Amino acid sequence: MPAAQQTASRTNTTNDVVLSIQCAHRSFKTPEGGQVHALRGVDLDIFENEFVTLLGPSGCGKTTLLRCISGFERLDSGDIAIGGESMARRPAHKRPVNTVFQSYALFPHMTVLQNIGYGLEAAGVGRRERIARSEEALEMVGLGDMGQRRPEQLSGGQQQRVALARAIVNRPRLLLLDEPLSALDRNLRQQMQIELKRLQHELGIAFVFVTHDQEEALTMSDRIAIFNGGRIEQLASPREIYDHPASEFVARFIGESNLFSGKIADATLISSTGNPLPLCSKQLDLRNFDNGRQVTAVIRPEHLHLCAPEAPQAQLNARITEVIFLGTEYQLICTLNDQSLIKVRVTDVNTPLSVGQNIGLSYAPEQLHLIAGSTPLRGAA
Amino acid sequence: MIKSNLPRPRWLQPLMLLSPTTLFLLVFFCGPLAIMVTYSLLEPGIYGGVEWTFYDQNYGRIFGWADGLYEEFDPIYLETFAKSVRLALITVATTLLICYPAAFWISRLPSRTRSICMFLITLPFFVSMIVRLYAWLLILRPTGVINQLLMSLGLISEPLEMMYTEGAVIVGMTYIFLPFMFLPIYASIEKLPGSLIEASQDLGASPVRTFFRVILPLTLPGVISGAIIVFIPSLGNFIVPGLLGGAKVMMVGNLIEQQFLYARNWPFGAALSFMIMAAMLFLLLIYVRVQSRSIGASRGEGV
Repeated sequence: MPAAQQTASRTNTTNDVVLSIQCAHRSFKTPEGGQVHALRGVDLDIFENEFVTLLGPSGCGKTTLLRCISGFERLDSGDIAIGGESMARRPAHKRPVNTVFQSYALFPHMTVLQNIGYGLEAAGVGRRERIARSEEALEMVGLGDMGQRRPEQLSGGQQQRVALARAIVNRPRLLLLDEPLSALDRNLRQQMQIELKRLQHELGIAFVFVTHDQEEALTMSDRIAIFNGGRIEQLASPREIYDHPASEFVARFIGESNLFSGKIADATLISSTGNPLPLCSKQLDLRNFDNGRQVTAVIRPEHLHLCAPEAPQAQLNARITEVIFLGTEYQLICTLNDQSLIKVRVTDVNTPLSVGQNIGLSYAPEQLHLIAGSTPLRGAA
Repeated sequence: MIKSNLPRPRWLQPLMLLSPTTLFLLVFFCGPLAIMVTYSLLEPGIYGGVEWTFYDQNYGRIFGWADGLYEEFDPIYLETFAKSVRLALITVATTLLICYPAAFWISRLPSRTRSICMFLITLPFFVSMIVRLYAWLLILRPTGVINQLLMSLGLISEPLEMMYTEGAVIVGMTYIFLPFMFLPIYASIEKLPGSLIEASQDLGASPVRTFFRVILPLTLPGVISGAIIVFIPSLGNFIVPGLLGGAKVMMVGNLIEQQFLYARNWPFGAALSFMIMAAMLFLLLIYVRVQSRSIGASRGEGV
């Protein structure tokens, strides 16, 4: 693939904004006469050669945003600009973006090669060049010899690849992917995740990927935008989102987490769990959290360590309610003094564990991440 | 009870399952057809009925080998046939032009409004066709609604001649056959996934290109079905030209009706009928050929 290598060498990470969304609002009327706010003030900049995932539960507005970018939906207010040019008055067929649809949407009356060449044909590319470029794109997704087949003769995974080839052959500024992997089985999905990432590197095109699968988002993205109720809750790298969730929603949505809310008092968190939980004083200073401040603390199950119930380092006392074997580790579900549940990962599978056993739990204070000003919610998520 | 363990041939099973239909078609379709073919080759009796002798003069009157002694060749029959084909084709075109956009529009409506529209489309089936055609008579005649309206507005000083014209026949046939065109087109448009239209736009195709490269090819089976379902009954129709065309616009259907009911020349009527039959059969054969090829193509055979 000489052309692909060429593009790869050209694209070093530059900080040019490809897509800029400003204050996007969109609401729909429901059949009952009510209004649903799909987007309420979304700001998002996506840079050249970046893989950004829009992640959120269904109905959070991520697909609406994607459809606004591609031009199938209009914004009520706000603006979408691609390459610095406003798209407000541009119909879908004049925008420099291509979409990989969830249903693939391959044209059933055309061969694979005709499907891929469709965009080039619309752009007025001559027949010979069209075929050459279509074949190259087909080669890129690893289906070199399938050009003469009809879409219905291909498996789901192959159709997916054709849809991908059809979208990238036009060299769009931006590739939009609308939950493209949701119809594939687990193995194929993981394989496609790696392949998508490789393709994105080779092509140097910015990818905007919509999904509700957090694993997919964590695997592939440079940055993740977490959507909730038509807003972006947090926009950051996967690592940042996992380690420093900006809100309770993010903490619950990405990975597994234990949440405690309470008031800060002398570098500890006073919550209903009984024991005051020691906090990292450095973090408190850095974020200007004073005594009396209402916060929610997040701790991941893998950052909790087992110890004897009476041990001096035990910061929490709990009773094991359930032991789940996960292959390389155990997941424990434990009940705290106030009857709330907490999740713990135990990597040492040789520890004797039984339901009903009393244990102590310890953690390093810097692993406890604080979220400011929360509603009083508590317990394991 | 003796249960037979003899293996039954495999082909027999579908044949037996189809037997009620087969039997029905044999008695009520092939039977009358055979009678028509036979009659068209027999000599007409003097007081109606037939003489059982072979007689090719019925077709001779139509196609030109009549002996000129008892039967005379008259080009009027072929001309009438040509005119019928023309009117039927125009009917197909007008119903298509009305139904395609309408079906498209209705298929995109919210489901409640859509079912109301579907009900309205099928509503005419509940009223006698004759009654509905008489309504057109009231609309089109010189003292009818249109003429009175135009005259009271002062746009015309004397009534337009709209009755007993080809235009009136086309209006009537279009009106009668609209649902027949609408339903197959609607069925194929409703099956068309909206994502394909979006995919086409997304790939940079203008609305016109999207229509001709994606929407039309994928709904063509419905269009062809509709065209055939409208064309066939239009070609042989005699009620609409009878009521709205009068004596001025005759179609083959009227000729046949006359031969059977008034001239009592059954063999000649049968020969005229068979001319229509042959034309339709020819069209259906082409249709079946095209369809089986497109099915084969979509399965990837013989591409």
